[in-house]
Amino acid sequence: MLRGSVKLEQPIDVEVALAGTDYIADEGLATAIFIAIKLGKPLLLEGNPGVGKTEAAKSIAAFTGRELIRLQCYEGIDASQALCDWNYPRQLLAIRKAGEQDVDVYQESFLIERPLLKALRMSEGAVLLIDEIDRSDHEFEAFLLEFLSEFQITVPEIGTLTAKKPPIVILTSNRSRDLHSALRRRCIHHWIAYPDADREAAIIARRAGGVTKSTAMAVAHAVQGLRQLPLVKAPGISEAVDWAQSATLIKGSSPWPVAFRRAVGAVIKEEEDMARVNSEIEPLLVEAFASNDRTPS
Amino acid sequence: MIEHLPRAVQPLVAFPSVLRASGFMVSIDQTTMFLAGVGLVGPSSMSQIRKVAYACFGPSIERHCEFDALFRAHFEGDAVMVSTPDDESSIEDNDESLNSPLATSVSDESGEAASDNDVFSKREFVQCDVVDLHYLLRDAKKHLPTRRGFRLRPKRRGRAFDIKRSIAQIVRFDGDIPRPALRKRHYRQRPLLLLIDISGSMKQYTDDYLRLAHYLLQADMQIEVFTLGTKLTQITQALAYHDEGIALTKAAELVLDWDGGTLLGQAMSSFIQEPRYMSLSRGAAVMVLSDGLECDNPAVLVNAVKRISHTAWRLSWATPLAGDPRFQPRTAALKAMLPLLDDLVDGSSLRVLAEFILSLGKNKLTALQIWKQEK
Repeated sequence: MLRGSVKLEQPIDVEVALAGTDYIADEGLATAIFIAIKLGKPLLLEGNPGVGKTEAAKSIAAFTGRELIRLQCYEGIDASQALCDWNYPRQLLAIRKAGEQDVDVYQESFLIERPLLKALRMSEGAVLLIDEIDRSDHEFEAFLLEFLSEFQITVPEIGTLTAKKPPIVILTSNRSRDLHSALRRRCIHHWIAYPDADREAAIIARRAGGVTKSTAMAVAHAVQGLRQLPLVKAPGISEAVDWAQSATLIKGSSPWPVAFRRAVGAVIKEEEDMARVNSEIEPLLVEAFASNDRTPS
Repeated sequence: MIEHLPRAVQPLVAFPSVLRASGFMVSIDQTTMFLAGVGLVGPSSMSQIRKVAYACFGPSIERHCEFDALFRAHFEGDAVMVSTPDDESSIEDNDESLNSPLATSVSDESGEAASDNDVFSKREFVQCDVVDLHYLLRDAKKHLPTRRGFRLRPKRRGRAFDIKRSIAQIVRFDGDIPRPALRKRHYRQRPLLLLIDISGSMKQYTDDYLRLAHYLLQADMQIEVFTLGTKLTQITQALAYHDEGIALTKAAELVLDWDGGTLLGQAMSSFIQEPRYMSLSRGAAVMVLSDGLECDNPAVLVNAVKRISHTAWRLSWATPLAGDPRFQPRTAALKAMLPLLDDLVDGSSLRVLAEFILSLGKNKLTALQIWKQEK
């Protein structure tokens, strides 16, 4: 097991370490992760949905042996949900109990940790995943700036809290909107593109349990073909993995082409796309099997 | 300064300046990160340095080719291949008639004026005062549609009890709460999305539409502006310059397909296929400023409009052809789009357009309901 025992001397070490956690990264991603870890900078991963941004963060946590702390972003998220909140019932009880005496209700014992504070306070360091940052609003992006540049955060009632050991921060974005340049320039950046057929087949073979190598190859080629079509939502790697698994499950009762066709719902999620794919899936599958030189076993 | 550095480091330090000269935003932090990154990885190969450059400068995916060309030119001595159009012809709009207020002349709606030629041209804007739009600056923000945001803000009247402020009051006033601290979801302005047709058939209107967009942007509104011709171009950042002349010149530099063919369907399809563009239409007041004359298959345009209508809060179409009282939507594209539109309005006059935008916040009938009533 690689947990915590990996020495990172070169980007290739990251590539190997990620492979040890079943994540197959390209050189660009390995270089970005290497630089981010070594320079102690946040890593911003952008890419289409389902290309493996969140999985990359999980794998980094796995090979560094650090705990993964996840903050899922959404519109309206603020400091009380991301950083910390006061334990109001306890504060009220403390005030009541104190009676006429003075009581300080702004002590750290009344503080409820949220992901950012938890990551700051973790003495052995953590991997902080700020997932889908593009879903949050501009106010939250601005709020993150101090944290991302200094690994410190200011709570008005307490003061400034600094990280004991800076966490490895990974931000992901589906690029549903452009992030502010102030945020981007603080981060090491990498755009995760769709992989080529061979790498995608390797990913499917690793990720999808019970799927043969030839099935993975056929699915990878078919998905590459689907991405060439003008679809509303092009299938990601996770959909390809689901398709391979679903088709393998159905295979028991149906021959291969039928199994792939019946499981197409795992890879196509839009009604308009389904209409288009239904008419074009036959030649796509034929081509995928041909490129594989044989039907899946 | 660079001359005093070791010779091996000089190209690395000079590269950010090359990027800045080509319009990339590069901070000093990023330069430092780049140098540190190269030091970490070791400058063993150009491929490694390129990967570090990508990681540290983070060019957007659309500019990867340009970034790569600059990298090769700087480090490997290759000639920079700037993506200039093959058939570039300069068209200067010095015609006096363009400076006058918008003409209400009605052009033929047969579609003859539309062409599918992918013509690239440049545009020079002439300084003029078309219509006084200053009142937009004053009034626009308060008249525009709003939606309830997800954040709770302290308010005198609200439905949610603000326990944080209440405890602060208890501490401050020795157990008393003089006035209940309340919170309420605040209202945000709905984004306004302008899609401006800049094809040849709209030539006499595009200058003024861009001026309108510039005024609206200067009114501190949440607005995004795209041009549609044979391709799609986002010009919001260019129009954000306070000076109108600079803003329009920047926009003119950005757009390559001024007064070219009419491939609205293709341009709008590019819009819906790009998630970060499509997300701009979510919950937004979308306004298409176009005559709707499409040379390509109208089904492509209708499909794109359908997708936008699903996500937009309100979809309005302003056509200069509607300036004529005899106007009827006759083209196949416009007829098919009618049920999808909330408004089909006159786009021949900036004043009418401005008033329409200011009235967007009020409840109105959909375009189909209006046409049915008139029948």
